[in-house]
Amino acid sequence: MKTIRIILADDHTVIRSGLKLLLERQPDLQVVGEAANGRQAVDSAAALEPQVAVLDIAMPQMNGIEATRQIVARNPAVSVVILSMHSDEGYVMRALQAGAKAYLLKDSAEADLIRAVRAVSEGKSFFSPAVSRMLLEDYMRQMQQKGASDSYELLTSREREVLQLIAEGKSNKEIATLLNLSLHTVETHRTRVLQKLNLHSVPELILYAVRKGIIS
Amino acid sequence: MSPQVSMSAKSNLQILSGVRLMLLLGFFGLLGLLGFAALFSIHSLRVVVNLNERSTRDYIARSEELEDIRGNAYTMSSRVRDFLLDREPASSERHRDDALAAWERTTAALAKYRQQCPDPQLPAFRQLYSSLVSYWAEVEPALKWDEEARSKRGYAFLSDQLTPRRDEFFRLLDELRRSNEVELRSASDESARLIQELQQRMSSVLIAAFIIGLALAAITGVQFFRMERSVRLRYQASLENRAQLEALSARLLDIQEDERRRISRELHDEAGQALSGLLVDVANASAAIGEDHAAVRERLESVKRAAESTLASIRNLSLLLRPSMLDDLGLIPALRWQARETARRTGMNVAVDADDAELELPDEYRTTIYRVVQEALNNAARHSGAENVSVTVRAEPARLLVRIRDDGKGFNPHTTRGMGLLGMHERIVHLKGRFLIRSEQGGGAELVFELPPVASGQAQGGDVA
Repeated sequence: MKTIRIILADDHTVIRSGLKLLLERQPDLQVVGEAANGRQAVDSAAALEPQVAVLDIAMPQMNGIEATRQIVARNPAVSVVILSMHSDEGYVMRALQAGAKAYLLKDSAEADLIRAVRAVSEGKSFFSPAVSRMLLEDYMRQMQQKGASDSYELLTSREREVLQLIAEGKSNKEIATLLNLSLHTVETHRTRVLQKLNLHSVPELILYAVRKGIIS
Repeated sequence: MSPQVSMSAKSNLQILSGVRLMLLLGFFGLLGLLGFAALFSIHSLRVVVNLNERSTRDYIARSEELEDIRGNAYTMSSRVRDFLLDREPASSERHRDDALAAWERTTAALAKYRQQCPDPQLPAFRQLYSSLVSYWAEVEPALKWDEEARSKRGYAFLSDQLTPRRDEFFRLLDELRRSNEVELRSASDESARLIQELQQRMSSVLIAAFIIGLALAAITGVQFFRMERSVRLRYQASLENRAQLEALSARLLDIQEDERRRISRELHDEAGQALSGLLVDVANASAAIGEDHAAVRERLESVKRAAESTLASIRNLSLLLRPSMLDDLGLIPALRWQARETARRTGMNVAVDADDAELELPDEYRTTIYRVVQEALNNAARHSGAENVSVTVRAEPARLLVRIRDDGKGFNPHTTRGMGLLGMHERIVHLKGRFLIRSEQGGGAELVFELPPVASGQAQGGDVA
């Protein structure tokens, strides 16, 4: 069995050691480095080349979101899991824009962290159920209040497939291979999906997919 | 500052009452003086007119009497001469009777004149009287003369005795007439003197009135300038007080905001993180004891639930105090969060129309806009019964415009002045912004405010951005 190498960044030692204990109960998970702030996290990600970085948002010197941006910019192979106290859409959006793959609420970290780490190591996104629920509720309320019909109905089944694969974090090339399409066709589908749903970026698309329950 | 002001205000009040008394006395004195002058001059003029009238009347009356005396005396002396010289026997009787009658009329006229003769004329009058009486005393015996006696002595008697006497009393009569004229002239001199006296008095009264009036005008003027100055000083002081109050209230808002931020952070970072750590530890402990100790696992499960609910309360409290998005993500994400929270809580549809591109604002701006929008949303939720609320934020080159509009029942912005509106107004004015409420009963409400553009270099984005 292949071990998943993880670095852990949180300025609270108690949480860090607790999470480490939690992760290392799993035989295939190994915490290779720890950091007490964003800068240390960026340094150890560069030095240790882990598959997964688990970062708290609120950290001194450099916060988790800025650290995510730098880690992903240097090494896109590192999948970042964000730990946060906030279930608000603004934070989720910011984390996704910075390049995070998973967004966890600290209240439920002990239940979701292992699943999240496994998901991102396979290239998938992951959101705490509480976050998904909240995003979905807000979306439903907006739809209801606007009285607008769901633009998801406008998508063709092929476009829905492409939407799900993009939301799961697949690259255009991967999608082309999976669906047996040309790269150009995938790009066309991608543009059309964004247009039909009135979205402007992949993070927005991921949020949309979470709201719709297309991905977890 | 303020005790000084109240002291000077008190002394001004005292000066005011003293001066007021003085002015009152002055004005009444002036009026009294002018009234007295008017009455006095009317009286004096009446005296002069009376004097003139009386002296003229007396002069005319006396002149008439004198003429009467003169006429009768002339008739008498003519008839006496006729009696003495006329050779017609029939006529002599008639001449004598005429002379007698003329004498009687003369004495009557004399008696009448005597009654109105003024004291200075008395000696002259007595002379006239005795001259006439002595004339008559000569004439009376001659009237008994017969024709012969008359023709013999008549002419000589007339020319020697009577004519000189007659000339004498005519001279005396002329004298009296002249003296009468003198009397009249002196009366007119007297009235001229009275008028001159009146003129003098009037001019001194006018001078006094002018001086009093001048003094009153001076006092009033000084008082006016003093009051104007004190009003100006008080106005300035009130402006300063107001500015101080505004600075104080802005400072209080700052302190309150800092305190909220600190407590919110503290709750979130310390208490929240500690509970998160506790939850992780509980999960670890629960895993460590394995399946055997069901009772202990149950206890741990209850600890976990308690920690979770406490964590949720702490997070809510922290967000309520000051949403961390405001510092972490910036204004617009914080407003979107606030809109979602309000929608969740109240069922209103709250739309935020803003450019998500990073709005670089200093903390003061972010806090002010956030708090004002929060207050406006709370007001809309509490009072308006609106279904839809829209929040618009526009960053223009010349201004930062924020508009909160609802479709509720509206209110009258001129009569509604709650602490909420006052607080919003104060916050915006402190940033040199403008604040406008447009609303009417039943027509929804619109609250618009604009802030001056942020000088570059002054802005600080959110921590996370």
